[in-house]
Amino acid sequence: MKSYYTFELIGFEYFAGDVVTTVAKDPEKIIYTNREEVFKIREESRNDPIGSFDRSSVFKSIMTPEMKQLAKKKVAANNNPLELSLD
Amino acid sequence: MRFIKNKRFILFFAVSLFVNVNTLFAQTFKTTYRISYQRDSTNINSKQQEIAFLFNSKEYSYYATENFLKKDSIFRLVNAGKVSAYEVMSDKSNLHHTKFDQFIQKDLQESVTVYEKINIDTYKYSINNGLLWDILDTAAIINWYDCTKATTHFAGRDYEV
Repeated sequence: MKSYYTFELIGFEYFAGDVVTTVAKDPEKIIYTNREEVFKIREESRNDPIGSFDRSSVFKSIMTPEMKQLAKKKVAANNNPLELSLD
Repeated sequence: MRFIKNKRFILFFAVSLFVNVNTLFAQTFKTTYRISYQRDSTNINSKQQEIAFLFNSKEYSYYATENFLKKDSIFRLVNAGKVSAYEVMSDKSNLHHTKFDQFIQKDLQESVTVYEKINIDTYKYSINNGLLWDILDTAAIINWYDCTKATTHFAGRDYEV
């Protein structure tokens, strides 16, 4: 299997505005790791979106164990785990 | 299904609580690319396209897809209290999808830092940009550009450009 990526230049301009982003601002909320680890987590997320949510640090902080169990039951009943994907 | 929508709302709201705004720089150049890609060559239905931007200043460059930046901007509006998470989630046109959930920063010393969002967590890692290119003799004109073939190896994969 191969992957193909073509980058076609379609515009070049002077940009007078600000580049603003929410990433990279709050170091306490960023998980520092290495490329290999992120690759593993990314693949895991694609193959098992529900489990991936379970392991997410933010998810853990807002969902009680009972809520997680309920979510799993609802999703299993719905039989469409991809509905949980946020992207 | 309604539960799942509610869950999305909860997650979106949770993320919006944790983000802040960071102005990186002003006054720069913006290059726009159309990325056409096929992640799996054996699956013809995997062909997709996205728009991406590269911002260059004297010290840094930043790269991200258009949809990543739009999604990020919406988080910023929610974070600033200008729109509610419910308003965002109630309109599908506010939901921007990207297959490249990464924000890549490069400085003049060629060090590359990647911020990647996987689900609702943000991961940060550095990569060595010391790619060793083999410039080959093969040339072609692609979309009116004179191109020369080159190959390199990175992270266990071979790349042909």
